[in-house]
Amino acid sequence: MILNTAPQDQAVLSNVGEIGEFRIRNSAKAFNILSSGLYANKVKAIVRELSCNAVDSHAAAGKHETPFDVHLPNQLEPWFSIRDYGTGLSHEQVTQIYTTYFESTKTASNEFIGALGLGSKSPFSYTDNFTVTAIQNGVKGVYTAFINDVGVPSIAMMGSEATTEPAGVEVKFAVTDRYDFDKFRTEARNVYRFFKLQPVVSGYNDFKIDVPEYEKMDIVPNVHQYKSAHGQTIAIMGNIAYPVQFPDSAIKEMGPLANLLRCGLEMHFGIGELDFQASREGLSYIPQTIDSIKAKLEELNGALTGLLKTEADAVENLWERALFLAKRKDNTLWTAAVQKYAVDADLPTYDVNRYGGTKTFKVGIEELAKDCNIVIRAFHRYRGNKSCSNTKSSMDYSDQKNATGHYDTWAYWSINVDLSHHFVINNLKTGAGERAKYHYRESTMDVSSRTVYVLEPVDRTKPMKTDEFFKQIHNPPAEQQVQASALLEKPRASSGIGRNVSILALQERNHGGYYRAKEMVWRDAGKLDQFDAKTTFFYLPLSGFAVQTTTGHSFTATELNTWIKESGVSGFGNITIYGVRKTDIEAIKLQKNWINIEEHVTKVLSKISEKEVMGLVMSALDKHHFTNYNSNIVEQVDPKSPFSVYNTKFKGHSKVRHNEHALRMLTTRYAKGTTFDVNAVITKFEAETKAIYARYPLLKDIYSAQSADIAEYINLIDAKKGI
Amino acid sequence: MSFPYLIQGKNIVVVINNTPHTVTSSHISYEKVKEAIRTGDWETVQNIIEPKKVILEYGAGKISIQGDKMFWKDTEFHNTLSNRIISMFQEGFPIEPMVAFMENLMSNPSKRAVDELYTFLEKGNLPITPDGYFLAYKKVRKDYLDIHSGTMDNSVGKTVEMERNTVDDNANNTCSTGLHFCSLAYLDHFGGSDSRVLVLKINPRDVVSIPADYNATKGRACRYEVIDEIGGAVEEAFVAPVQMGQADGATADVIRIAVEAAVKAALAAHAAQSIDATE
Repeated sequence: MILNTAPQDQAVLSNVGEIGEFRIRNSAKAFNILSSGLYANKVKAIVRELSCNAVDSHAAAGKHETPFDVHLPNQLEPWFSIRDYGTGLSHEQVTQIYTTYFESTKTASNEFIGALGLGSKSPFSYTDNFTVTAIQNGVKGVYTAFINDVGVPSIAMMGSEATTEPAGVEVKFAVTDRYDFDKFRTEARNVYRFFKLQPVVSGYNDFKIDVPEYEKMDIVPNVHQYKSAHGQTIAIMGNIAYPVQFPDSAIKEMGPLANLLRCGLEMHFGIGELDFQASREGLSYIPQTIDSIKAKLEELNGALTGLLKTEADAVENLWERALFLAKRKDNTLWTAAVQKYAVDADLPTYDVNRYGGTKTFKVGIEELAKDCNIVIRAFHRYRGNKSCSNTKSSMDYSDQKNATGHYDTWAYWSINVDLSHHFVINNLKTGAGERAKYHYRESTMDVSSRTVYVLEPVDRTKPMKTDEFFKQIHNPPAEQQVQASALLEKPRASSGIGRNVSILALQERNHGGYYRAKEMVWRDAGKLDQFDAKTTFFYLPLSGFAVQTTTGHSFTATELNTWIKESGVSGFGNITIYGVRKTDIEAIKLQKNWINIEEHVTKVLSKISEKEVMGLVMSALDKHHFTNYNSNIVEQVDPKSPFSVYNTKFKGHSKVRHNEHALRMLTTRYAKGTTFDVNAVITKFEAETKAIYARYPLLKDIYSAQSADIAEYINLIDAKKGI
Repeated sequence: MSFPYLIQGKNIVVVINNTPHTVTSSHISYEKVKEAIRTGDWETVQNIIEPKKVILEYGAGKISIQGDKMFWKDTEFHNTLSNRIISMFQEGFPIEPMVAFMENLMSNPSKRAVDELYTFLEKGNLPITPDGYFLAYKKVRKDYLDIHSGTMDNSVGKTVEMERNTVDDNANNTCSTGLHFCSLAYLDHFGGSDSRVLVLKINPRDVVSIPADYNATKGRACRYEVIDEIGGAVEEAFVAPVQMGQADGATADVIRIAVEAAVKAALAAHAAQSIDATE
């Protein structure tokens, strides 16, 4: 590699005294710095430097396609060696050039990676001695390079003889520390990953080089992007990868182009294009290096801009184009290209200074009314929320007070280029605001939020100049312009009645998972028109939450509900009580399927059968034990016996489970004037029962005795007291 | 005969037949090469300078090498055994104990037991015997009965065995049926301070499983022989990769004597060769 070390300008001296040159002392310290101190990662440096020498030697011999050999240290063979098949070295070359620091044969040509004359000494950074075997012109010389007693690198010839082995050089040294075996493997992997021609590696059976995965190769020639498209950009020159880490000042100067350095690029440079640190562990950021990289990045960005232009120009609508760019900008690789394109194209819908990238237009409300006969009302809706909230316009204030001592204001709509916006054009004779809100409330949201601008004429007698308005904001795509007549229409109720009648339902309150007495509460059950017109519902007129009863008694809806449920009267069935407010009573009365619960209770009680009454009576008298008809006893006593008469009355009836109190509450309130007074019957039977027990005083004590014994007792009393 | 060489620190460079050889402390023949150079035994230097050649020769046809791996017939050596072979070579032991050990090991019917045993030997660093067994420890009660059940007599000289298929071969059943043995690290975890520590001789064929707990420091076998009781410090019981003598209560001494004898023999051989060379 050709090095450019001469100063840019020659020093012109005049009238000066003695001139002395700086020198470097030939000392252990100097050698140590140059062969060991130079490298941060010593193992990697050795692998890299010796391998590069091998590649250079092959290049010099014209053997570009011949791989060199590498031996990695392992337990059985604990040494590292590199053997090339290049030009080899003569005895003079070994003793003169090879051992001289900064002596290099490669500075005349950029065909070679090497140039500094330091790499061949790199093994001294790890070991105090290594062997060099040089074969050239049928002569094989073996040398040992070592650090001598005073710390100065030396070389000893260990032997020389004729050979038939192919020309080349082998450098070899022992690896003392077993734990370093793995370091050599790892660094060999890291280094050879970027070699155009892989060496033949021995000493480790499972040696594999990780081949990088590319997202895109040759975006421009010799610039690739890695699959993981973020992270370090690396520059590759002569098989060696250097991380590109520009100084901050250089990054600042580069502007958006610097983004490309964070895109995981692999950039290949010709030998000599970049300057590097003597250790080759990094680049040296002299102007030449920065310019080369910058030129490549500009070339890349130019190519990307070209690609982008083709794609962007194909998007005709300027709103859509701006959004295409905004999206592409998020990919760091394209950020600079997007910027360049937007500036070059002077795209009115794109704002290079705005983070989001798209333009925000300000449309003056007054101007809009005057010029286009348009007034805008706007609302927005978020996904997951059914409501549409009004959006307000904005206001700018002047910096200075006007002649009247006030600040001038300017009201405007701020409309951002955004594909989620909709513009509703009112082409109806009526207002379109409510219909638009209904439409957007009812339609599914395919975006996370949407702002709807409803355009209405200021003067309804004149048409709106919508074209002019859309031109001002550079024409949002047609699919964002909606005619109000195309919106969903809010359905009108079929008739006025029932539309606004609110219905309450008496329901159990949730008891929250733990035991609590079940309370009944009124809950909103919706509007009357939501109820099925064919099903029968029972309602209770309410004033506030107080029951409006016709009975003259005072009770709560909960009480009424309990009585109905517990009365035991089968005719009630499973009833849900709905509450209707005083104001809606007239409306509800018109509904044939809505029945006042009080009327229903009265009707059911009036139709109660004798059988049901007897069942209720039996249940009411349950504490007495002879309400069940007992044929065994009756058959053994005189049919005219008062017991027999009493007991026979219950023949064919069975008890109905009920709450006597509930039944009584219902009957006292709703069974007036009915043909059958349940309470009267119960009272009558109670009296009769009392009389029976009075006549047969022991009867209540012997109910568990044998029927024959009971019959005998009855007969005894009847015989004594007479029938 | 002599070869040009350079010795610097732990590094030795010897050029033989105009080919350089680099030898350092990680080289399997390092000590021997250094000694041979010191005594001017150039033939030995030549014979032991190439590790692969050395191992192939040492393996007497049983061991082959491919790249950085050693093979027993067609099976790759587990690391722990490659290391064992190298240290056996370095300490002057013959290969036969390893050959016998490998043959015994390969006749173990369970692949899993074999794999687990490698880990056990690696962790425990226990010696093998000339007849291809390995030695391990066991703790017993004062009366030589086993600690767990107190029914099995483990007196020195006894061979204890049970049917292989009655030994639990699941390494995840950490405490289960079987004849237990262990390496040094496990001894402290089991038994009281008044218990005895025995040396067992176990055929690798008879190992059934190495339970997964205690970091592979205990094992279950179906047969072992009790060959010794350790009187003194347990740590000093085994010092060499191959245990030459047994059952005399002074194990460490036996090893030392055996090694010294081997070294003496080697030195005598070198001396004879030197005389040959001078002639």
